[in-house]
Amino acid sequence: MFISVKDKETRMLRDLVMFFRKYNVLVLTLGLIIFLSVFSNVFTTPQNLKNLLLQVTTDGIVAIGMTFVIITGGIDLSVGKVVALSSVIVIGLQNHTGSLVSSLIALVVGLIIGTLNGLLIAKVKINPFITTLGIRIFVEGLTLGITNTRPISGTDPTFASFATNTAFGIPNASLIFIALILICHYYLAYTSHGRLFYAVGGNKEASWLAGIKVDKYLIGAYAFTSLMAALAGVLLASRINTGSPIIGKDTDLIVIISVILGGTSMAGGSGTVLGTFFGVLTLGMLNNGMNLLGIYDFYQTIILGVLLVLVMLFDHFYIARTKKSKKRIGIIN
Amino acid sequence: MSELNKTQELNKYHSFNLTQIVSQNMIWMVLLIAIIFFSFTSPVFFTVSNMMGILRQSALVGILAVGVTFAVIGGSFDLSVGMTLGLAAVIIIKMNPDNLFGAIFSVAIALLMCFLIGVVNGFLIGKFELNSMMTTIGMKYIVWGIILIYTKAQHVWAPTMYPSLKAIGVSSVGNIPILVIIFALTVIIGQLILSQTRFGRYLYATGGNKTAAFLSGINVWRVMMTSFIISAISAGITGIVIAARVGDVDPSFGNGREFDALTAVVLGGTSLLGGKGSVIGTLGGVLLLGVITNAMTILGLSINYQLMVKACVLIIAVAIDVYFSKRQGNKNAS
Repeated sequence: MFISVKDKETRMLRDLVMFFRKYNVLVLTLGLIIFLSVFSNVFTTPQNLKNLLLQVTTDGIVAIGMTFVIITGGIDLSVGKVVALSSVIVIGLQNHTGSLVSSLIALVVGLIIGTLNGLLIAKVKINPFITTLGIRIFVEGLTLGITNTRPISGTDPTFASFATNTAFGIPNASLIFIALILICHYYLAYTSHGRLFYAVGGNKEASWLAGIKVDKYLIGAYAFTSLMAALAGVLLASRINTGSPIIGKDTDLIVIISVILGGTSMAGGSGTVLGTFFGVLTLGMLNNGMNLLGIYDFYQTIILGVLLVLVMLFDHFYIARTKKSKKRIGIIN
Repeated sequence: MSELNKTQELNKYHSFNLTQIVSQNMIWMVLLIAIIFFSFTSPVFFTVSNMMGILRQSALVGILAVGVTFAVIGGSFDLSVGMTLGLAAVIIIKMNPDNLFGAIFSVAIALLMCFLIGVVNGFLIGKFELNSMMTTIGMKYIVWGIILIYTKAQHVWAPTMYPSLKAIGVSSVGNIPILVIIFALTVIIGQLILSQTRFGRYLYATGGNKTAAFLSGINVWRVMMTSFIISAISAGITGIVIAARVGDVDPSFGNGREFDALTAVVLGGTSLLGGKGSVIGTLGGVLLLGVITNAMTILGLSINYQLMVKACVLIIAVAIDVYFSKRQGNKNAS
């Protein structure tokens, strides 16, 4: 069929707009990389890039789990405190059980907290915000209580060097992070089990009627998120060789912002782990850039709050538009 | 069938129904049982000075909780109140008013700031229908950052505060602290607004079913905005009272007070699904929380473990609320 030049041009333009809409976070990431390389002469040094990767590792691992939860239409506000608790457990039990066993205990505790979250949300049917808020306060009290609000220093040199030791030039912790990204992306996007998380998030009632065990997927998502938070806590404790009740203070906020920035909708039913990776990278670079440019911590607090509101507004308008177009072509009424 | 249902409905409202009376006044009975129980466990609990202490402590949570009740009845959460009250307190203390004009001016500025925070919250949540919890968490961080910049992250104190302003926090009329009088006034005014004004009716309607409220001609987003303004202003009043009481604060001291307020509101029988609840119930919740906190302190539980107990109380209260609403839903459906 004959296509005129003008048609071709408009189609190219339309494709370009579609591309931007789909990969906005990618564009944002690339833009930030260019901006920071131009305005800061330390940004592109290998040391800084390695630091950046290590910095985003903690929040990134938590964000993988959070992607699952937000895809199912929920939220987990307790992850930051689970990171702190897990770091405290790892370092605190090191002298009694050895680092490997204490790490395993921390992971199991994380899994238990997540399962508790999931049970309260799926079985008792409490709003996920309230459930995870309550669990968050509970875990915070527990962590502050067992440490007496003081940080603990680690004593095991092998454990202390694990996260920062490099293999193929990349720190171990970041290698784990990248491997998890790839595995979880494959699981969510290309396996039938993974696809069911989208079904549950899109419409719980319909999924239940279609014979999907909705509760199982909900509990699984929350348990996995807390497990990831515990893993992030272990790796962070290994990196700084300290267990502290106040680390992970902003983790919840950073993680939620990066997941939504990565294209996962708060309404549930859509999103990818790869998008989350770029969201995490963007936020990490923003943080890194602000540090390099010498912007105070105070302003970073405000910027986090503003970013959260902006990202939610963006999400809202995007969903509103999709709904409208779906209505127009008759998918929903 | 429908005749039968109608008779049952009428019977439900007109006959003496023990279960209903118990379930409606559960909070007061639990409060009574708690007071009796703790009086037996500890000799210092049931003394006049300790009871006054509980009232004074409860008043600080209570003024805040009355405001939060409005937001929750409207079907949303307000988690920014903790930082909002911090901002109000910091403004009063940083301005350090030493004459009448200065005192009035600083109070006005503090309340104005809180009003603005309420407006922004209400606009984002009411107009754009953003998730209230996430929006107010974002607002919390924004206000926190403003406080940190304003105080340069330093501890602030007011050495020469105007005596009459200071009196709000420390002195008492007869035997009753002014703090408690302010709390009582807030409860009365709040309850009157909820049950006697048009706005109160609209708020219940909005919280119960937003679409239905909109279709019946209620300006939904303006109602929600008003509820957020009320909760922010109540946070402002709490902040001013605390500033007058202690005279020096940390930049992040308001952090976490929103959980106490939310717990008290839920304990008082206000449903988190919206459309149900009362300020009088919140009063009961505040007193129960005050009694539990006081008893834990007397029994020597550290403040960190108190946090854990409070979290359990919050979750259990919400679970009970969900259980009862589900049963009611089933009844209506059948």
